[in-house]
Parts: sequence; structure tokens; C-alpha cells
Amino acid sequence: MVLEGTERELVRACQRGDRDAFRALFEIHKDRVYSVALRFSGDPSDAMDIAQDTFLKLFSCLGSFRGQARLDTFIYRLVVNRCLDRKRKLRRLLPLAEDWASTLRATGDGPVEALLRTQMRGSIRAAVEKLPPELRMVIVLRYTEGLAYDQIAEVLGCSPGTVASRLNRAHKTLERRLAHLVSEKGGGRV
Amino acid sequence: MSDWLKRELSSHLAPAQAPHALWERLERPPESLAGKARSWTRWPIAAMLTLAAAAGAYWLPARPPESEFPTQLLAVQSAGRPDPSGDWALHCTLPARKVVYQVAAFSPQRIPVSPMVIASAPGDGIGCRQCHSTIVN
Repeated sequence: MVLEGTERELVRACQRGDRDAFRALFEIHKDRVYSVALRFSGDPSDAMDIAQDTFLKLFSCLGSFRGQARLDTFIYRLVVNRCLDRKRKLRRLLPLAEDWASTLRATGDGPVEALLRTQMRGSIRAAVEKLPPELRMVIVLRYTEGLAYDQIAEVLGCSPGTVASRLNRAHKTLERRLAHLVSEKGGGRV
Repeated sequence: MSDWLKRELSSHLAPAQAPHALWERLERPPESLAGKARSWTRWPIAAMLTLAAAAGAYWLPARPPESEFPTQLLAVQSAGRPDPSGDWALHCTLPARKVVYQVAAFSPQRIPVSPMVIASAPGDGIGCRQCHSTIVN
């Protein structure tokens, strides 16, 4: 069965036009693609568009995929390119309604703590949103996907040193922009 | 870099679950793309048809109907001028009058329009009648 096959078998089945294989491939990678798109764009609607474009591109170019790179790296490249191509003016990372819904869902804390967490999340995401695209993408791949420096370098087509440099710049910028949160919380331990 | 920032970034930029609607959107794109393409082609076609209709509405009434009668001579004579060969400004002068003549001349029933309605002076409307000779006095 296709779903139990290895990645290579899955790709071969897709190349033969097996619909189940496409669905299986989608199920494996959908959260990864959507997460990168959402954390980069900050907007669920934009993220859906980016994810849709990414999978359409993936399905259309799988026929020429010869396994020269790992499939997940290949997919990361596709979604990263689609994110960076999207030169839309950025809006707030998540709509207000979702923030309030998140507040209500935070059952472990009291309402004040939940509200503070929501505000903290909004501030951090807004600070990430203001980063230049190349720095923001490094942050997303590092903290959303947990990729190592060399994996990020492979996805972005640059050296690990460049990745480290971009991460360093992004961290410094974020620390500067979020300094008020640190001081408000008495040493920054929220 | 502070551990606090790393921890907060990991927490607040955590992976998200893709909505179920994503697969449905992937199954639909050929139709939606075709629809988009059709909608884009509709606009130029609609614009061209509108322009053609506007141009037709403007130019067709202005075209003088073909007639075997010496319309210029008849128009001048009906205006009571003694010398039909005189130098007349045989053109539709005022736009409002021209429109009335055009409507009368090209309405399906060929509605008769009296020159008195349109012309306040003896020479007025001669040009219109010359152009639109189907008007019945």
C-alpha cells in the first residue's frame, strides 16, 4: 500500500499519477508547509494561499524530481520561495478574534495570566513580523520547524555561516524590540 | 542571546495544524483557475461590445438615409426661400434640434415632426431636413 511505502516509493507512485499517493504525500507534509506559511505571513488566509500554491507546484514538478535532495528539503524550498515571492504588505500576524479565542482556550491559567500570555504572543509575533523577509524566514525555520543551521542553509541555498549571521541579527533586533517586555516582567521571565 | 527569547520564540512560533479545507482547495483549482480565466476574458469582450454599441448608437442615426429625391432642393423650397441655389448652411446647428430630427427620422413609425416645433426661424432646421429627409411636414 502506498501509505506504508518509503518516501521514494511514494514519490514514484506520485510520478505515476497515483491519486492516493498525492493524498498521502499531502498528509505527511501539510502541517509543515502550512506552519511555515502561517508563521512567515502571519495571516491564516495568506498561509492557505501559500500552502495551496506550494502543493500545486509540488505535484506539478514531482515528475522531474530525481531525488537529488531530500523530499522535505525540496518541499521547504518550495514553500520558502512562495513565501518570499509574496510581496504583499504585511498585516498583523493573527486577527484579534483569534487572540481572544486563544485567551478563552487557555484553560490552565487564570483570565489575567491568559490575557498576559496573549499579549505577549501578540508582541512577539508582531516583532517577528517586522523583521526583513530573509531574517524572518530564518527565524521561522529555526523556531517553528526546529531545523539545524546546515538544514536551513540547504533550504535557503546559502552557507551555514550566513544562516548564523542572519539568526544573530534577528535575535538582536528582537531583543531590542521586546526589551519592554523584559523590563515589565522584572528580568524578562514571563 | 537570552534564553528567555529562545523560549518565547519556540513557544509562540510553534507549528500549526493545516486546516482540512486545504485539500479541498487543492482538488478544486483547475475549475477555479478556469473560472478566473473566463472572468478575465469577459471584461475585454464586454468592453468591446459596449464600445461597439455606443459607436453604433452615435453614428447610425447621423448617417443620411438614401433617397432618390433632391432633398436639398426640397428642404430649401419648403423653407420659402426664393433662390434654392443660394448659399445655405445646410447642417444641423443646434444639438437638441438635431436629436429631435434624428429620433423622428429613425423611429419605426417615422413619427411626423412639424418644423414649427423645432424651428423658431424660417431657415432653422433646413440643414436637419436636408440630412434627414424622411420627415413629413
